[in-house]
Amino acid sequence: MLINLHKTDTENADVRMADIDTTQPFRAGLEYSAPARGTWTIAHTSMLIPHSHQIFVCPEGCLRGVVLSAAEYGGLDRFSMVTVKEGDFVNGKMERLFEDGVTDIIRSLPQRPPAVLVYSCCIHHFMGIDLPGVFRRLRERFPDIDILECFMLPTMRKSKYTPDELMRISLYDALKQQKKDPKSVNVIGNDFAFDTESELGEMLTEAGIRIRDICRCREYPEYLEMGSSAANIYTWKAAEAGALALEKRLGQKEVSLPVSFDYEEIAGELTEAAGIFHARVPDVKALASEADAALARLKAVLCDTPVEIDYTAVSRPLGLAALFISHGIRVKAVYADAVLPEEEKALKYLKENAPELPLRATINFRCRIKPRDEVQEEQGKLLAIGQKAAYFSGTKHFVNLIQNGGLWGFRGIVSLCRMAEEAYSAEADTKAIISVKGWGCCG
Amino acid sequence: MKQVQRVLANYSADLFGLCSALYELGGLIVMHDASGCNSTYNTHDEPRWYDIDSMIYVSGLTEQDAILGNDAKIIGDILEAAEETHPKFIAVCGSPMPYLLGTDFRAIARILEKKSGIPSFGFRTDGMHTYIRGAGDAFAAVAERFCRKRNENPRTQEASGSGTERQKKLSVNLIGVTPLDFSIVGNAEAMRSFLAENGMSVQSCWAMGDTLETLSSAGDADLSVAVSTSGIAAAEVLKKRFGIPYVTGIPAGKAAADQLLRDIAETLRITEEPAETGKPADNIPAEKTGNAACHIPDNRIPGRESGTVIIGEPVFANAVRTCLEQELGAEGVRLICPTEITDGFLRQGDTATDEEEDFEKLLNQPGLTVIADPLYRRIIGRKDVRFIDFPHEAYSGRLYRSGIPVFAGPGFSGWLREKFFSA
Repeated sequence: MLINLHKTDTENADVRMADIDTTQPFRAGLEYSAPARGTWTIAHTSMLIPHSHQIFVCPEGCLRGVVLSAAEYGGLDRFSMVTVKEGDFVNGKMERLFEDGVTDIIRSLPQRPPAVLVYSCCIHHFMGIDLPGVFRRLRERFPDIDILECFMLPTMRKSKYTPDELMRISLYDALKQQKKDPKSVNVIGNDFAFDTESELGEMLTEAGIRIRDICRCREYPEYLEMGSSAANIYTWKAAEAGALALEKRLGQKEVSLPVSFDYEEIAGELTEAAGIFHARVPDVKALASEADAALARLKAVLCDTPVEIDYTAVSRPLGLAALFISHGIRVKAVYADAVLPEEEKALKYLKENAPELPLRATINFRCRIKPRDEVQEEQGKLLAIGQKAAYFSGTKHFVNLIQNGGLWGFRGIVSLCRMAEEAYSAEADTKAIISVKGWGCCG
Repeated sequence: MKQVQRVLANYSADLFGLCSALYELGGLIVMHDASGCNSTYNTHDEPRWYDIDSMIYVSGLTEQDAILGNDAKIIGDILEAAEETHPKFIAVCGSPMPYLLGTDFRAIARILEKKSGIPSFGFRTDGMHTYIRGAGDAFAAVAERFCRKRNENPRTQEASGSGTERQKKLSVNLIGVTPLDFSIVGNAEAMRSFLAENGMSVQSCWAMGDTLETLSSAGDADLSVAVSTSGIAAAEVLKKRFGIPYVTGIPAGKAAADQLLRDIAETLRITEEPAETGKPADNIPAEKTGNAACHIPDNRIPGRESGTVIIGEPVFANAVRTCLEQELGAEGVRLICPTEITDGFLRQGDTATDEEEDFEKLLNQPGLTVIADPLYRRIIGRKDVRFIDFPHEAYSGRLYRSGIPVFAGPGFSGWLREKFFSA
C-alpha cells in the first residue's frame, strides 16, 4: 500500500552460507526494528536486583521507551526519571540536575530501596560531565543505599562494550568483597534462570556446590550473598565483561561455559567444569544419546517441515542450524545480523553441508519491505525457533524462546526439541505473543 | 523538584510525533539516532507498525560517526535506501545526540534532494519536545511543499455522480489526526462520518486513511479543522497559501459537535460573502448550527465541589470540557495541558504544565474529579479524589488502548455521562 514493492531488491538482506567470509556479512545502513519485542531491555534486566529502584536521567525521547517498558510489566513503583531539557545543554548545570534530581527522587520514595540503579545517557558522556564526581557525592549522601552506575549509551553500542555487556557489569556492582565459599558458585548474565536440572546443574549440585543466580533471588541479602561465591559461570558471551570485572574486583574466578549445540564442545565444557569444581563428569555418551533420541523424535514429527531459527532465541543460531541439519531436520533459514566468532565451527559445517542455506538480516532496511508470508509457500507449516523467525516467516508455529531461556547442554537440546514438538502441534497467536516487550519479565 | 518524575510517565516525543504524522504517506523517514528510538516509537507509539508497512528507520549513529561528524554516512545510507524503495519523499529528523552535535538537517535534506531528485525535508526534532511539535512540523512541511489548488473556485464544482445540479458540499480538511491522539479505535472514521452526516465531505484527512496525493489536494477544500494542536501549523499554512480558513475542535459529544458546527458556520460567514445560494454556511442544517440549544440538566454531584480536572491535549480537553459543562452541568471544570501549544486554549483556572510537582498539588484536592490517562492515577494520594480513566495513546502508549472510547461524534456524550455520574 505504501511502498513500491516492485522495484525493491531484497536480495541484499540475505546471504548464502557459502558466501559468508566475514563476521559482518551485511553492510551497516539504515536500521529497521521488527515488532518482535520479547528480548529484554535494560529496563527489564535492572529489575532482577530485588527491591531495587531505577532512575533514568535522559531526554524525553530516550525516557519514553524505558518508562513504558516499566509500566507494561507493572514496574513503575520501582522506576523514576529526571528529564533533561534543551536548556540543560547550555546552562552549565547538567551535573546539578543529575545529582539533585536523583537525590530528590530517593528522598521522596515511600520506602528506602537497598539499591538504586542510576542511568546516564549518551549526552552526558559526550558532554563529558563529571559523572565520577556526581556518583561519589550521591554515594556519600546515601551511604545506606548501593548506588549503581548504569548506562543507556546506544551511541556507544559498537564501542568498547555493548549495552548488554555494560548492563551485566553494572548489575553485579553491588556485590561486595567477602569471605569466599568454595562450595558456592554464581551463574551470571542471564535474564532467565539457569536450568539447574541441566547436566551441568546436576553435576555441580552432586558435588555439593550451591548455584546462585540473580534470576532466582527474591530478597536483597540473597543477591548480596552472590559475593561469597568462589566463581562466576557465564553461559552468554555478553556476560564476559561482567565476569572479568568481578574477578578483578572480588577475586571470583570467571568460568566461561557457553550454551552450545556442539556435542564435542558441551562434553569439553563439562570436563572443564568438573575439573574446576572437583565434580564428577556425567555420562556424556548417555546424555548425547538422549539428545539424539529427542532430535530423531522431532525429525519424525516434523517430517519435511522446514525450520527457521533466529538469534534472539539462541545465542548460537548457526550452531543450532548445524545440529538440526546434521540430524536430518530441514532448516530453511537463519536470522542474524552478524556471525559471532564462536560460531566459526558451525559456519564451516554449514558451508560444507548446507551452502545454499540463507543467513538473513533482521535490521537491514530491506527487511521492512520483504514479504513476510513464507509460511504460505509451505502450506502453512513452518516451524520457527524464536520470535523474529516467526515474524519474518509469518508462521503461527514457533518456539517462544528468548536468549536461550536458561537451557544448557544436552538436556537443553532435549528440552528445545520438546518445545519444538509442542510448537509444531499447536498454533500460537504470533502477533499477540511477540508484541509483548521483555517476555517473562516479572512473570 | 522540576524535571523530576518519581511516579509519572512522559509524553511521546517530537520525533515520534513526526513519524506518526507521516506514517501513511509513502515517504522514507529516518530518525538520526543510534538505536532505541525506532523500537520505542514502533512499540509504544505506533499501533500501525505490525500491520501497515511504512519505511521508518533509524540511522544507526555510532560514537565514531558522531565524533567525526560523518554526515556522509547517513546521506549515503538514505540514498541507498531511496534508490531501491522509490519513496514519495524523504524526511530526516533528529534525536538528542544530533542536537548536541548541531547536525544541520536542512542541509542534509538539500543534499539528499539534489542527489536523489526526491523531495526531502530536514526536521530539527531533538527528542526534548512533545509529539505535538514534531507532528505539527511534519504536517506543516507537507502543506508547504505538496499542496496545490486544483480548482480556482472549488465550491462551484458540481458534486459528482448524478450529472444534475446538486447542492454543493462543504469540503473539509481534517488536520492533526494521528493515533497518538485518536488511537486506532475508530475516531478518525467517526470524524469522517460526523462531517458526512452534517452535509460536508472530507477533502483530506491528515493523516490517517489518506494518501499523500489526497493531502496534496487540500488546497481545494473550503475549510480546515485542526482536530488537535498538531494540526494548527498546517492549517495556518493552508490559510496563508490558499486562503482556507480553519477552526479548531473535535466533535466529542453533542455540545462540542454543535460548537464545532457553529464555529465552522461562523468562520465561513466571516470569510465568505454570503451572496449566493449554496454558500457553505447555509449548507449546514439549522439544528446543527447551535439553534438546538443543549439542555443542561441539574445534576450536580454533591460533595464534588472541587470540580473537575481534565488532563490532556488542549483541543481534546476543551471538547470534553464543553461536553461536561454544557451537557452534564458540571461546574468548575479546569484543564491541565501538559503538551506544547496551549495559547488560545486555556481560560482562567487552567494550567499548562508537565511538571510532576504541579500535578501533585493540583490533583490532590478534596472531592476533585480527575479525567485523565490511567497512569495519572499514580500521583493521586487522596482517597476522596475520583478518577475517570481516559487513556491517551500519546501518554500511556498501547497500555490501555482497549479502554480508549470512540470519542469523536455526538454519541460520546453517553459514554461520558455514564462515567461521570457513576459511583
